Amino acid sequence: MELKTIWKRAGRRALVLLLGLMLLSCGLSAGAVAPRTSSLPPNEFPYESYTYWEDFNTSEKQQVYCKPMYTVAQVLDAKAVGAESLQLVADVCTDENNNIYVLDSTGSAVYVLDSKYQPIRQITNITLDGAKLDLKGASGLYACKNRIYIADTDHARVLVLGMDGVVVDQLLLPDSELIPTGFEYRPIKLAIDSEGYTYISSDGSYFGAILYSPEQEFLGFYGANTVRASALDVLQNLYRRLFSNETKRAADELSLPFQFTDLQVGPENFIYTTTGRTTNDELQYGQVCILNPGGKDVLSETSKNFADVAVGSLYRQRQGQDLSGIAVDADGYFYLIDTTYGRVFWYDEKGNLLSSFGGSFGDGDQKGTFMLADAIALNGTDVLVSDEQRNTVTVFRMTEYGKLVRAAQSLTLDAEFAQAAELWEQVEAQDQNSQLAYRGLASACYDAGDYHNALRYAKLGVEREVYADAFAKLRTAFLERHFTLVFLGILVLAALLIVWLVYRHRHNVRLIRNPRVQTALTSVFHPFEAFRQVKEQGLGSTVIATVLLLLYYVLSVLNETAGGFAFTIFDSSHYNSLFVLLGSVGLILLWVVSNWLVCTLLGGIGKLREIYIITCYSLIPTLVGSLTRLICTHLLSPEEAVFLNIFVTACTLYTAFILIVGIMRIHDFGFGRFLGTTLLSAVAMIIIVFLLFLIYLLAQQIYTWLSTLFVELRYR
Amino acid sequence: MKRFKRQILAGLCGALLLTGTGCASRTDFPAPNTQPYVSGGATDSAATGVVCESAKFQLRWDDTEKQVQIVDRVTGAVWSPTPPNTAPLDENGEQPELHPQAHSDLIVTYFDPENLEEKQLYSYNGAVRDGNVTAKPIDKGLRVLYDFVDNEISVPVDYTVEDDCFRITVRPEEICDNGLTYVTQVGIAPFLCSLPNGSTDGYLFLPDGTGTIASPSALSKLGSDGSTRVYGDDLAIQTYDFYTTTQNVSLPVYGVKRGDNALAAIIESAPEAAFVSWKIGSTNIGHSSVYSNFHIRGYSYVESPAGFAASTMVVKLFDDAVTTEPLSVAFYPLSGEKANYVGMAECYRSNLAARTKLEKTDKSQPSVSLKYVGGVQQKAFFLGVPYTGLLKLTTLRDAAEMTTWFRENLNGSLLVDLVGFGKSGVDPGVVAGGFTVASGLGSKKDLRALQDYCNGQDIPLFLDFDVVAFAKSGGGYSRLSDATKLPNGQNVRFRYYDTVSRKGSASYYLLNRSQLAPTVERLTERYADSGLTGLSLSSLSRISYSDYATADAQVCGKIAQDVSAILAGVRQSGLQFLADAPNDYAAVNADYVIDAPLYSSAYNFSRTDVPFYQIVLRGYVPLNGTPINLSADGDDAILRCVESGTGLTYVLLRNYTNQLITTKYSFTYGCAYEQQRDGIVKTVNKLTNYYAGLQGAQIRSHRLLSDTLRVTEFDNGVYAVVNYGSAEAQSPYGAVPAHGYLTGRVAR
Repeated sequence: MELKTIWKRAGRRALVLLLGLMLLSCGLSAGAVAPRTSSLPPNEFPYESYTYWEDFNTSEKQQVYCKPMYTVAQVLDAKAVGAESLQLVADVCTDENNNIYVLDSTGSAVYVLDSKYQPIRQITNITLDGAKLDLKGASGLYACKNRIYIADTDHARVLVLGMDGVVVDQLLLPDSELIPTGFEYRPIKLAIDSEGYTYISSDGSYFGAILYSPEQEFLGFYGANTVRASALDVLQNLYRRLFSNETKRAADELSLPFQFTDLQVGPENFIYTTTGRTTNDELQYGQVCILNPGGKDVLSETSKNFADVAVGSLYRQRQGQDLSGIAVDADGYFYLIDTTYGRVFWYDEKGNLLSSFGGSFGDGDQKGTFMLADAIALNGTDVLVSDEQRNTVTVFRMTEYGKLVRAAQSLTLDAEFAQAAELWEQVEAQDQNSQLAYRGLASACYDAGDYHNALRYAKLGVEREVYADAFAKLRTAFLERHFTLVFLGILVLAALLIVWLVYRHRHNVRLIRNPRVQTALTSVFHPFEAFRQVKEQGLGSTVIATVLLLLYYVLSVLNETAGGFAFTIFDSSHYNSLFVLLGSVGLILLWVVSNWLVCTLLGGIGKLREIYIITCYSLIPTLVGSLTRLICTHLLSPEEAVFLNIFVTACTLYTAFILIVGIMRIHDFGFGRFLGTTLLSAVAMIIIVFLLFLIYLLAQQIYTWLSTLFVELRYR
Repeated sequence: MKRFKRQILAGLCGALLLTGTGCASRTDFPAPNTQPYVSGGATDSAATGVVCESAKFQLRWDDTEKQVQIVDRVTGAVWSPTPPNTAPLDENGEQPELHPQAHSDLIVTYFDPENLEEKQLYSYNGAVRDGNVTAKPIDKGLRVLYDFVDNEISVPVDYTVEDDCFRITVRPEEICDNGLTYVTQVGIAPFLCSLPNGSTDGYLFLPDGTGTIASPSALSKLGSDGSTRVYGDDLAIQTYDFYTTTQNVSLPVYGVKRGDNALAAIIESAPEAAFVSWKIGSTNIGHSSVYSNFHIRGYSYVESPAGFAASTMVVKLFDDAVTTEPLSVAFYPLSGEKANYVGMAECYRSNLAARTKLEKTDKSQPSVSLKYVGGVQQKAFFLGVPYTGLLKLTTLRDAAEMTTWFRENLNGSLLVDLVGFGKSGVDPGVVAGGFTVASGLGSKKDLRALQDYCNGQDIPLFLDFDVVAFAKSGGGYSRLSDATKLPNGQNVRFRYYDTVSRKGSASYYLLNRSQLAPTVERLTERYADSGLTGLSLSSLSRISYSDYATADAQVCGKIAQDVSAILAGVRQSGLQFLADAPNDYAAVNADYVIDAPLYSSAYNFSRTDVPFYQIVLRGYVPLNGTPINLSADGDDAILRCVESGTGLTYVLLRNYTNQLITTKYSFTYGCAYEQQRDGIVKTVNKLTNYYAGLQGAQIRSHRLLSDTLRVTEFDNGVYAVVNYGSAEAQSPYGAVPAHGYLTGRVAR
């Protein structure tokens, strides 16, 4: 059989193989489905209890069902609060004695219950100077020290009343230079710290909360949200400043910070704030701030997404979350209410999500679900959520399991790992989906010197830091235990290598006799000579090149999927090897074709096959780097990876060097011409990608047309 | 040129064939429809007075008020579709009129072609007030024709009296409409089972989950107005609005207790098409009620095209045909000691026994049933290439090992159910998981070893198959030809909808209703002599769905009849049948029941849950409840099991991996065998004697001593007092610890 035929056949096979791989890559699985015919029923609650795992296989959070930490204790309706009827429950709050206050704004009344939810007072006649007030439109309520504060939004005031309903003071818009011109005062929520400072959030105010001293003097604005700006936004702003005229600038939309939707006083008088919906189509970040007395956000989680990660659709329209309320307990654990989906999110003081519960929207006619949840308050560990459509207040009570998780997490945050471990074991027994339990146990085991179990739990809980530390400890211990053996082993290996090299040199032993393979290997150390052989003696091999290319693809995949645990974040939910194939094999082929097209026009003498061969040969250092990285990620800890990264970078640069040499050699170019043709090749690559994209779109259109035609014919 | 011509010809033939496939109409069987409306169809009407009598009832017609009344000749109680007006006098000393809804004997829902939506007609506003109602005596009763002249719709309703009940019937094919505004639903006697808001001497009973009773307290102007489909949602209808978890209505019965009287309403005919509906706590209406509303036409949702002006609009596309079965509800008045939910349960059970093969069981009550999960499907990778693989959670050898351990450590009897052991695990793959155990989960030898062990230890062993949902063609089934059809002839593609992420996932198909029987027969043949105790067909037990390619299967038609026949076949082959949260038709054919409901859907109007399901079925089939370890509050679930004499159930898997969280089964958070087994043994061993004493016992009485204290008495003298409160409570049988129970036996 002629050599040419063999090459053709080999080329065809390689093509088929590549196509096969591409097709396989496209063949994404259907994904698991839990049908309603399934024999595994979820629990009986009307709503779901779930949490999110961090860092699990993905850059996003992974939603995971968990054992419920809160259950509905009761639903307070008009009868329960001692009212004939409730017209619009606008807010709910508790005072320092855990008495509960419910604001019926349209009914102009406040209802007071004791901590056991027994009605103790109905303030239905709120008067100012003897005249009964209409509180329609009021939206905020606060109570402390036998005073009730009502944010009377539509009447631009905060009313301070005694328990008899008589208004004793009003906080109106202060007359101050600090108040911007045109500022509209519409107080929606307020809070008062233990020093007596009053913080008022005003509807539409992007300056922050309005701050009053204990003597009711206006002090200024406090803790405004900041505007998130991308690099593109900054560039756009710059462009506008430079090239825009006054008229255009006036017509521009200004990005302003969003207002607070709620604010609460937490431990040490830190102010916890929430920001509501900013957009429907994007995930929102940094919706919770914990402001110190200076107004600085100490949580600094501007890049953290609170509440749900998914922008779901409701009534078949995309609906973003809208955090309308926050409640904080004495330990800094805080609760958020998302008014869009009616869900409560429970976080610890560091912002770790413990659980989400309640909601699920719908008609709100099941216990724990809402039609329009809008406010949240705490009575001890009971969570109160008001529904302004149903005019109810739902009381969620912590389950025994919830108490267990809270206690364990508190101990872990206080670094009481040994005590926490006992509780975490109980948590794990009840809920194997608790990432906090695995992480707590990993820390506890590490703290106790049980590195094997620390490793196991860290892997289960995807705690890479603890894993890396435990791994380093175990490896050190291993080396200490077996130092003699390891040292001797290295010596023996080195000696054997030297002996082999000497023997090989003396006897002129050649392990590899195939000249094409020899050329391929020589290209690493003697690229000029090797590529001369490829060009002049035809010693390049398409098969070897293809094998190298495939190895490159395989190693790329393995580095992403099978690297050491501490190094690898494998996103299984979004991973698609098609993109790896395109990024490795596709890119190389595109380069080869573009370079051939450009160089053929510009006097290059290299053939398509030769460009392909030298490009693939030049990958050998990258392959070595990639393989080394793959192995080392199983042996090193991330802290030690700096040398590994240097080595991998060096390999990549060396690949570039070999490629430059190869291209110059086979086209017989000088460096200047090489540079020019390379730039043009890059342009050609872009054009080809563009054309392929067009073809893809066209094919898609044709496919859609054919499938529609088929469906129409079938169902006529 | 010749070749070109040939190619053109071949292309044309292909196109013709393709077109031909669309010609296969689903109407290969008669499709009954409503009658054309004729104005002034009936003019003569019966005179006021007694129309007919039975041994117990007297049927009266009031031609002035256009109203039917049924008088209980024994107790003197009067039952009427219109409730007595008990509203207090107004400031002028006059009694306000009943709200038109409460005054209506009938609710008719029709499709308005102008607005492309359904609208409701109330008989009082639409017909009675204008005098467009006529009555005509029929055999054992009266036919009342409600003529909604403005909408060109007339509905004849038959009121008949029997010796023990009275019955209201509507025959869909006798309804008249003009074909454009056509009738889609009929609500029968919406306020027959009703109470005035605020009344304290009665309650409404709804068969939601285990059963719940509702107090008629005033909630708001509109109150709670809802409904839930009998036997579960029609899976052939893709819905986008099930945002919360609700429990199935497995028993087609509801009722009301009014003082010393009660009324049990049993949907005797076309229960598959019925919804149990309620209007509770509306201050506008002033009355709270529960009733049955029948869907007489099937439908599917048609999405409006993307970019369409009303982009959120979903239009219901109704089927041409109406359901063939008469819509019939029988009402059984109860009085004295029987006038409560226990009496309603007994009444329903008698009715069920008369219609089906419900018989007392001689099987022992398993203290615990163990569901082992074989595997679930998961996205996996080979060299970066994704594929769907089986995540193995429990192999047959693991199952054998687990069963052995439990047998050695448990005192009571147990039952084992293997779920998700088919080729695609718990997920739908090929029909019935390929009728075999996935090779990765064990061999025939392993299955045989497990069977031998279970048979030797007298442990019933069941293998579960999903014969309804499938995702792939294979095993002689095709997605194209064997899937259920929509009214427009398209395949039903049910999309899983995650209520948390609010995203749909991959779709699956439902097996054509006509294929159900042959499929189960194939399974039966395969396992009849295998040594297995029996089969568990969980999907068949508790779901209903329509199929517009099968005769009489529209609007879930005849699902009860079909499944009953299928299950009878399973039992005839010598295999036993394990039903999973079954509807009544599956429960009466079951040898064992697991996942028996312990909770209701927790509606705001619900005063408390009552174990109605267990009162009906206990003693007739061994019952085990929903999984304790998947319950929100396991301790509470155990108390409910004790209260109702229901055995415990646990779901277990041997090889927990955190990869499970990437599947849709992350709710199996408490199922790892190693972590659960000691707790299970401790709990079950504590209750062994109690369950042993309940062998074949029926619930004789069930009483609510307080909000948190309940007493259940069984007919063999065993009793259980359960305290859900946080403090010790006193009962007639002694002190009951907080969150605890007290069981014992009295001589009878």
